[in-house]
Amino acid sequence: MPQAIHTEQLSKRFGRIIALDRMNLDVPEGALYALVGQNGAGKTTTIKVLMNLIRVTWGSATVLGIDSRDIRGKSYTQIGYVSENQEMPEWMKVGALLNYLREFYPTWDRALEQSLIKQFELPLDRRIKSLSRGMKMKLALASALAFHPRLIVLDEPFGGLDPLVRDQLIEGLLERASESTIFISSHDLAEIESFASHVGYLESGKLLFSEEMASLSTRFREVEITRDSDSVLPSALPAGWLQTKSAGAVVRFVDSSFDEQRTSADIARLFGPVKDAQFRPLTLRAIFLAMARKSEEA
Amino acid sequence: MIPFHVDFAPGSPLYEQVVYVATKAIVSGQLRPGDNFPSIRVLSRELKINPNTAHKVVTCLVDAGLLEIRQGSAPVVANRPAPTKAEKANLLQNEFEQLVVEAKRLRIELDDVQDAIARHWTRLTSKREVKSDSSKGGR
Amino acid sequence: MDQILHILKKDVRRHWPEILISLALLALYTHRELQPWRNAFEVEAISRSPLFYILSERYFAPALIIFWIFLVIRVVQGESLVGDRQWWTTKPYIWWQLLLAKLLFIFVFVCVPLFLVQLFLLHHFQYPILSNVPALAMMQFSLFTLLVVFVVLLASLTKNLGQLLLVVGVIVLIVGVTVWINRHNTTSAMEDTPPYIGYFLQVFGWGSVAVVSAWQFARRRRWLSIDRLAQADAVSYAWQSYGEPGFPNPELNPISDYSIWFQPVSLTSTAKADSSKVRQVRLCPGTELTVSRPVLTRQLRIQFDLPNTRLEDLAEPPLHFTFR
Repeated sequence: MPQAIHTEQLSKRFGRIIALDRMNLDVPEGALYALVGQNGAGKTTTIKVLMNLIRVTWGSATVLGIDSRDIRGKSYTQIGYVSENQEMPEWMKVGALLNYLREFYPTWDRALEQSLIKQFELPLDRRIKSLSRGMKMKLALASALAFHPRLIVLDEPFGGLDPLVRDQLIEGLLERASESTIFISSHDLAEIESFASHVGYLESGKLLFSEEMASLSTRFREVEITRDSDSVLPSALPAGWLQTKSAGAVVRFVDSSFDEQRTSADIARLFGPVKDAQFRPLTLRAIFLAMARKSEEA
Repeated sequence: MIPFHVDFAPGSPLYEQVVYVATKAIVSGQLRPGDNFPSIRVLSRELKINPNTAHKVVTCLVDAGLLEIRQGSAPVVANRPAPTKAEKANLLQNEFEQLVVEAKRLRIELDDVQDAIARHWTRLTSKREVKSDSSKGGR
Repeated sequence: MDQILHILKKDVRRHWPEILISLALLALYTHRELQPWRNAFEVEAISRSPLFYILSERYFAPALIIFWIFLVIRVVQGESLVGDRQWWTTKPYIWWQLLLAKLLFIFVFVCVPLFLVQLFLLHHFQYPILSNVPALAMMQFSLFTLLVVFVVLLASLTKNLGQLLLVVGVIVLIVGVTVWINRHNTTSAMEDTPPYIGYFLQVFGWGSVAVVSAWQFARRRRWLSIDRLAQADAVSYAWQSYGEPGFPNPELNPISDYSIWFQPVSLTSTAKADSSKVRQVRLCPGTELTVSRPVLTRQLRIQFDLPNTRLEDLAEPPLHFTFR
């Protein structure tokens, strides 16, 4: 299956700072890929490089089959880009912007435009300068969806938006999900979790994992063990165990490569027979926190 | 770290949910008498709840005789007689009620419910080989 | 092709106040040119014209030019070419169509009105139009290349008006400092027609400005563009100063000898034109026709008088736009 986005050893340097470190990213067509990571991990840089707003230092990136360095002009007729980092023409009115952009896209769908205007309640006669942040994002999304793009790229679209606006954005996005590939970077893990098909975790420019949501939820578990006694934790713990802590007889950790048999065997080996062992699935937010805290300790 | 796990759900007061989980932990033996119980500050920080709520939790548990406050230090799990079968069964009130409600909604008979419970019981008992036997029969 | 007109329409809708102001200024300039002035009559004129005309007498042409520069900057920076936050960079703009749209805007609202005004003035003062059109066209060309292209370059390399003013300020500062350093140089002022090679280098120098602007539109690589520009002009400098006959001349200061000078373009007219006169002279239909030079935009002379420009002369800026 062709990849909507494919990068090979993609790296970006700003002076001495390495913002992207040999990233190998693969986003299949039709996926809804969520790129998560702490502030400063390189999510925005990744997107800007993919959109050819920043130059690649070395490595390569291919977007919809085009080398990212060749993306300009006409390539954008297939890509919708929404970013909290992008300015809008403040002096234009909402309706004027949509009218203006329409001419640039051969695949612009007027009927879709009208339905998006209604769905997002866009005030056609107001100047963009006077719009609230949520309204601007809705307008940006509408203008990025109306031409049936093959790829939709969103950079932190939910930042600072109230729940209703978020809901409207997500609804608008999901309605187009079947015909486009969606690449979204966000901190809103609770929202993303419900609709992302793939997740990638970026830390200091490195892509620590990139996989389907299903496999991610399968391999992460919070394990809580009640031992017979409260002895000190063994020093040599398996590498996949994160945030291992104990209080009294209770030991808790996050297993990042959970397998019922193997984990149980590890527990038996390290702690002997235990009074109780509970395995709980983790939300994306909890997974994120476990990964982030691990890096903090490192 | 807090030696028990709380999944907050909407519908009932936060402190009640914490008390419930803590009670279960103590009664089940996860927390033994003499074990340190998290202080109010730790509870508040780890569970991301208001310190007042945490205070209510500790007060509740002390009133129920499950915790003891030592002078100037964190609360401690109280020494108490082993919980009776009735006490333990009481803890699962919510779960039992929920089961019955769901079963009635699906018009499952009591016998079928009991059969299903028995089946699950056997299946899970044989799986848990890592556990020692000391959990049976209380302490 | 279709983007050009579309972008143009958008720019017209956005900048219509500036367009109107520039046309109004041009109209006022025309109106002033139509007035019969004389030094003697000026006193009379002062007494009955509005204050505005007195104030504007000296500053009108510069004001008009400055406003045109401002208009060009505003239009080019409407789609700012610097940075990665612009709203238009992820839209399907085709770079050369954007560039042409901006140039078309400038052509339609700066060059064409001026041309029409000039034709009108020519006609009004009974100059033959057809024979003067080539000269006028030449003047338009020089206006475009010397003024507009340079402004477009600056506008395309800077993010907004503030940054541009800063850059201009720095350039003025450098020029001023250079002049100040050269106070005591006694190299000859190059008032005469420069040698052939001078023309070539000027074309090369200004050509590099045009090419770099286009490059900036195509690639939006600001620092690379500036780098290329600096290289091109450094080569131009070096060649000029060392290519002159008489090298090596210890007195030859590369900076001080650099001057850009365009041939005055004279119009054919029935009046006896005195070609050595370069001072501003007003037209008064009637008695003074034969001795004075017609007050028409006929001659463009831009002169960077770096050598022999004394500190006192800095009261007038070293750049003389004698645009009449």
